[in-house]
Amino acid sequence: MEGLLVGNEEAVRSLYARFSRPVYTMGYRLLGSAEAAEELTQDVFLTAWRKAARFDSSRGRLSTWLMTIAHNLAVDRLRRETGVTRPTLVLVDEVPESMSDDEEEPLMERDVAIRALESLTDAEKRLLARAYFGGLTAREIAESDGIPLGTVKTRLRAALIKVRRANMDKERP
Amino acid sequence: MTCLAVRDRFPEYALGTLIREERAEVERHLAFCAACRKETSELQGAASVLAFALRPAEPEGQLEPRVVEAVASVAARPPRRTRSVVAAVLAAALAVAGLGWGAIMAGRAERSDAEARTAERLMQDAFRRFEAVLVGRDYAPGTLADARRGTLVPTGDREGAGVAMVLVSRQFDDVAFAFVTGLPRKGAPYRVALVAGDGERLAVGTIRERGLDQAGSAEIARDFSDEELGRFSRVVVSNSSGRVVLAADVGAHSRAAGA
Repeated sequence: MEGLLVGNEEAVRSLYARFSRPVYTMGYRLLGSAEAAEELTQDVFLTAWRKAARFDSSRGRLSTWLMTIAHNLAVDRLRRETGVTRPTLVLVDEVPESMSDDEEEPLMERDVAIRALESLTDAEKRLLARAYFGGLTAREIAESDGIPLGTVKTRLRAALIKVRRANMDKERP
Repeated sequence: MTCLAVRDRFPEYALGTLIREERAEVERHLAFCAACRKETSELQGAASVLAFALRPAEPEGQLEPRVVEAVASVAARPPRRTRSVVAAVLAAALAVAGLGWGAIMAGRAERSDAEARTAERLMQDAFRRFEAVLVGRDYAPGTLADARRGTLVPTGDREGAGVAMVLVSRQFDDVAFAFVTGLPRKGAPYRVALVAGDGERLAVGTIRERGLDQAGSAEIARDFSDEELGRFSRVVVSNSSGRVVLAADVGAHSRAAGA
């Protein structure tokens, strides 16, 4: 991160090599075009540089910090732009049953993520996807499904905690 | 907010679906509450798992040099000091106020059309100089994506006038600025806000009674480190009753990059 702070090219390249694919993927899946995904990727790394001094490794992982930046920028853009179609429920459909053999080391994190999500029911996956990828607020989900707002919030929290616990288990050797 | 009240928002905070004001309230709480920071960090970690589970899309090879060069070139520039920008804004505002156009603007309802036109021209001249100060001092050519300015005009039979400007920068913090004059003291505190086309509001700041001079003038500027102001098209000033007393359209783009 010190290298990123001063714009050290090797540090930026290293961060790019590690995270460009998930960041680009986020942009591509949420915003729906290669052009928007490229813009988002550049904005995320510029924002990461601007905020590098605020990153505190004792508070969370670098991947979480960077993906939170990416997600916030993508959702802000999604909300701002008229005519951007909200993505369909990408998560359930796109999680493959098994990893293909040619996916290499950088995708290990994806493998871990997919296995962590296996702890969820399809309904829980769909709920998280509507919020996280669709940008729907708890209130919008509650109104759309005709269930109390408190119930949606409770379910979102419970689903996140399940993912969190499963992810911790998967990360352990 | 108490921990109990703010915790209700954590799942949505982690999932990025809170509206701006709610997110800001959560972040204000997190700034001083370590226990809640830990909890939100864990929930954000869980949310980011969703992102990593997506089937990867592959960026083109040319993207890497573009991103690396963009970061390196911004990092190579001298550090921008936020205070100096706001100070430059305020210094320029005082120079503008010194031209006396504010007083003319404040009373223009009672003056002739010719005088109103003169006042308008003075204001535009002042603002061009104002932009030049900013562009010349802190916003290198090419980094200032957009400078939008507008005249704050009274709503209905309200008093006062002013000017507002929103600076949108590609690499640096965005800045909103307003200079007001002729505001009655009894209406204070006045709240200045940006308004987007969809009705979203973002506070610029509050002008309290003690901040108004004899002519009811004050200036206010705010630097937004985490906001992109391009979507805001109006600046409004509301009195203590919450009624909008001045409003400016800042939706028209005035390209200042390279000016």
